[in-house]
Amino acid sequence: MNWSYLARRLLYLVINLWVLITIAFFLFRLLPGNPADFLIDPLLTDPERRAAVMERLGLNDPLLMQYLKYLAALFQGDLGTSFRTNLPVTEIVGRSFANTMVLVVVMFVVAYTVGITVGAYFASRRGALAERIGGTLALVVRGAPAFFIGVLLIMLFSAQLGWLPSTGMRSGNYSESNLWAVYTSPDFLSHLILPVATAAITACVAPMILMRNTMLDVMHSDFMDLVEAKGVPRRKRLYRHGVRNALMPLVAEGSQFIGYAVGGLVEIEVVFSWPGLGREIVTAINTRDYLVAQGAFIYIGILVMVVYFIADLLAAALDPRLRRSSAH
Amino acid sequence: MNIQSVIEAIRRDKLALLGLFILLVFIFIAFFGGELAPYGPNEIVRNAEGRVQVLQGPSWQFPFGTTDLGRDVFSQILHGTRPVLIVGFFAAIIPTAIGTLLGLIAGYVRKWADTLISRAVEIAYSLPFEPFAIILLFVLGPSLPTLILAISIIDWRRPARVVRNQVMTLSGSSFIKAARVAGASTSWIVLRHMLPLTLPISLIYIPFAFGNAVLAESALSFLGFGDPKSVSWGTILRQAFDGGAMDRGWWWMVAPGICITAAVTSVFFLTRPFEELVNPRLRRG
Repeated sequence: MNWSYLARRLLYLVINLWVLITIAFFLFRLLPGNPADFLIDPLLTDPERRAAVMERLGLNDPLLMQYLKYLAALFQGDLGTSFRTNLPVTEIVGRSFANTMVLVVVMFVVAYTVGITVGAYFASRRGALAERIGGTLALVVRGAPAFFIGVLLIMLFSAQLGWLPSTGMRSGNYSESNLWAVYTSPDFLSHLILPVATAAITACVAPMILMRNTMLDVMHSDFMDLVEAKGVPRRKRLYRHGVRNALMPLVAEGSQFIGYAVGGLVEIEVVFSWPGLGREIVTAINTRDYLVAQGAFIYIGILVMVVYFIADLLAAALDPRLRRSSAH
Repeated sequence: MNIQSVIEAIRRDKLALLGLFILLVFIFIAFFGGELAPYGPNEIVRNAEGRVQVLQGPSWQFPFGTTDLGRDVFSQILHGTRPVLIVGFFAAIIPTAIGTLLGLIAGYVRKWADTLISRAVEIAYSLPFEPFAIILLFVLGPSLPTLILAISIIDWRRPARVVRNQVMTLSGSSFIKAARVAGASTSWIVLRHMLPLTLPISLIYIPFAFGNAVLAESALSFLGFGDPKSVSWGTILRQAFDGGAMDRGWWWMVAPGICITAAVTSVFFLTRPFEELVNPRLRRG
């Protein structure tokens, strides 16, 4: 690993995070009217007590001062207190963060495995009936909203067949002693199937199409002719030489696919009542619990940015050309 | 790639023709759907005895059934086409134009402009779309223009990145160097030499941007952040979801869901032949 490349990426990561938290701060200040209206519990109507809270939260300070205080608090891991529950925002959002992470990681593994396998298969069957039907179907799936796919799966597997649960993470009467047991219990896993299937069906199409296209490129490249001339059997040509070389762009684009998938997770979490960050934002906005919405937005943004950072390093480690140029 | 080869490519591809047909039907509905609809989007339909027609399955009178409040889903869909297509159209054109412009600047001016724009592209990529759009729509108030704004703020990133890279590649080519040596100004080179060679790349992005925008509009309306003044397909799905359609009225969900999917898929079908024009290796056979 090249150190100057790493240093540059780290610097960019820090800048991006700073822009993210700055956007999060000013986004809520765009609200028309007095900032007190959205930073103080709307149920608190007594003017004197409101004034006291305004003073304590520093809302009488100039905007720049407030911004600096916000940054300082953030560095100490303080995102404020929820109006609705009176709990620290970090506690509420931290819990949803873990739930979203589980969904993202499992979804990504499933989507990439399916996408790469099917994409490679399509490339090897270029022009065959299976490829033509499959390719068309992939476009239809890509055109379907994720929440609609989720709804269809619920109607089939929950409402009609009654095989799988469709809401939440666990059954009401279910409890486990430790965290590991919670996330590996059969009850949890059965709740995980439909949301993951929904997310993965949507997310597997992009890697699938990319895999098919790069596989076709690789299979038609000069070195493949040489491999064929050497007498390497077709199956081995396909998997040992073709798939391996075609995987590069998938790693390079991986971060974008994850970023895109995370950006669309809100609708899936809402459909399945999955207690993750996305649903937290919607609930917080609808109940005017702004600091929770702000905290969840920051967490979800950090998640995407860190994933980008790791994927960029991974791609650079695999392909030295990416390290030298600043182009991507 | 000229107009004739475009028409020829579409004519030869049956799926592209199907896509074009579906798209034209939706455009027609967007213009005249309101007048063609048998009922208003929020009209409560009663039968001859005056009973509200609640959760009726598909029939001749109600091709896509009725809702839990006795509204005609078919009429709602006809009324709901216009907002979807308006957002889809503008939220495809605007970000593509902005992205193309910024990509040209970054790729040609380079130095500070490239650093700045490339950073901005990366940040736009790492802002999670739905959380960002929800907050922005809440803050600015949901409406068709703010929906278009929320999508455009995020979606300019891809054309910007692709155009920048294309311009970078072009600047290295000998005919650009020749033009510079011959004394051509920056604006001349960008407008006369770079733009014509990057424009096809931008144009091919528009249909995808349209698909993204329709999906985004539907998702945001489904989440309750759509334009409150109109009933779009996503809004119908939201009402169906809240109204328990998954257990007692499949038609209420399936019809609008299929419309969204058909509208987005139609542009994918329509652009498929160009994928092969741009990249001949993908050609069949």
